[in-house]
This record gives sequence, structure tokens and C-alpha cells, in this order.
Amino acid sequence: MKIVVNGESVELLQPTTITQWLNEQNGIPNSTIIEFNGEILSQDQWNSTALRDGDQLEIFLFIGGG
Amino acid sequence: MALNPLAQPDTLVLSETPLRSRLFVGTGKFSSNDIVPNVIKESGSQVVTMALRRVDWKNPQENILNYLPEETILLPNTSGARNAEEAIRIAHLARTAGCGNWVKIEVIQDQRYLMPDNYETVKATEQLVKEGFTVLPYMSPDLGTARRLADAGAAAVMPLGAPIGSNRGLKTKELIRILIDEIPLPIIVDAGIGRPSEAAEAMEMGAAAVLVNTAIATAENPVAMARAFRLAVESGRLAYLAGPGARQLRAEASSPLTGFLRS
Repeated sequence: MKIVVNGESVELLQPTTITQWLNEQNGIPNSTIIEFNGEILSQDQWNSTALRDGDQLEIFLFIGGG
Repeated sequence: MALNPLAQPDTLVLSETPLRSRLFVGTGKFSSNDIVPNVIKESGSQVVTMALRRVDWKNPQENILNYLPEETILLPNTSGARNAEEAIRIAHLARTAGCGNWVKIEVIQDQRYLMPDNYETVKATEQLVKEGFTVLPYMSPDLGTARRLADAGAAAVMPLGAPIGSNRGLKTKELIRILIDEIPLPIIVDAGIGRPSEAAEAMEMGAAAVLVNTAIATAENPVAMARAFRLAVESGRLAYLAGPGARQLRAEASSPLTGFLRS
């Protein structure tokens, strides 16, 4: 099963939720903002959202800016 | 007689929020996020800007929010947006993240001078005000655009003094002066201010606030420069309230013109 994260194809070995998947990624800081298939998800929806083949995630973060 | 500015608290009210500090600071370009808390402390700023970006997998960045004091009013910008739709998308993402409902609209296509697109900025402002955001649009100083932003319900108008990050000062001074004169909203000078004296100059002419990032972040000692800007903004504001004297070409003696020994 493959999903697309920030434009890159990512292979998933087993069914998982957004929360579980995020927890397995070392590169992702704790407080991020997620668009799931074009819709913004609030954090309480991450746990209940199962990832399926072809799903698209966009993950954003606040960084320094003027 | 005018009220005594020394006896009154001087508050800038934006969207019903009273602010003591008229210096907004940006969090970009600092050599390390570790100094950001001290910069904000020394600046006295209550309103701080940040940007939203895709997480970079290979080089995970830190969340800038972890470095901001809890009481800070967050002003996420829509940098990276090339049109109104993208700016609106960023504003929605920022609000979802629990950043409150303030947003600095920044729509830019020009990559050399980073000049804002006033037309798209007005469109984004109209939409986001309808959705309940407190909208602070960054714009090229132009009276017609400023009027449209005011009509759209912007909380303030933020004209540039010079191109972003250029540290060149108040190059658009005469255009900003017109906005201050004509627009019944706070005018916040954003971008280009490179020295505390330029921040003071903007405040002396009646700007409601200034937003400074590069000038502080690229100083040799950003924490000390943050304090310098705080003092300059307070000084310029007080001078504005005190009412500067008239300018004239010829001298007018400050001491009595009578001779020292004989008249």
C-alpha cells in the first residue's frame, strides 16, 4: 500500500492510522498541521483516520518568518 | 489643550485587543531559534510573526512556536502564497493549528524584489474577514488599495518601507504618510526598516506600529538590537504624541537675541 506524503510516495507495510504513522517517523516534529486528501484535519481526527492506498498527506509546520 | 501623553497609557487596539507594545517582531533568519525568546523579551513585543511550511523530511525543522512566550499573540503570515487562494489555504491551516485567528496576508509573485500583489491581497482579505479572521495585509503603499482593504474589513494596513529584508529604511515614506493621513485604520510599517532611527521616524510621522525582522535577526547582537528597536519605537511614538515643532528654513535663535552685555 502506498500513500503520498508531501508529494513523495511512501510505502506502508501494514494498515495504520495517521497518529500511528506519525509516531513512527523520526523526522516529524510533534506539533504539525495535516491536510488529508485536501481537507484539513484537526488533531483529534488523526487517531481515527486510517490510511488507505493512494491517500495524500500534506504535513506543515510553523517555522521562523517575518 | 492636548492630553498629556506622559499621563495616559498609550494603547494600540487591534481587533479589540489592547496592545502596549507597538513593535511587532518576526522570527525568520535568526542564526538559532535559541535566541528568539530573549529577542522577544528585549523587544517587549506582544505580536510575533511566523511562517508555515511543509515539513522537510530530510532536514526536520523545529517548531518555532516552542520558542515563543505563552502570552504572545501569534501572527502567522501567508508567505509562499502566490495568489489569494493559497493565502486563504494557509490561513485555514494556521487557524486549525490553534494559532488564533490573526493572519498577516502576504501574497507575492515577484521573486526579485518580493513586492506584494495588492490585487490578490485585497481578494484574500475580503474572504478571510468574512470568515472571522483578524486580517493584517502586507501591501505596497497605495491609497486606492488601502481604501479597498479598509472597506474589506482589515484590522490594519501594513505598507512596506522598502523591499523585504533589504534594511534600506523608509523609502516609501511619502506614500506611507498619505495612508496615515487618509486611512482610518492603524498603519503598521512592515518590511525594509533597517535601523532603529528609521523605526522612530515611522512612529514620529504617525505610524501605529512597525514590524521588524531582518534588522534584528541580522544584527551582530540581535538581543541588544531588539532592545534598541523597542526604545526607538517608544521614543518615536512619544514624539508623535508630543507634537513636533514646525520646521523652517531660516534660523530662529534659541537664546534671547539681545547682546550679552548691551542691547
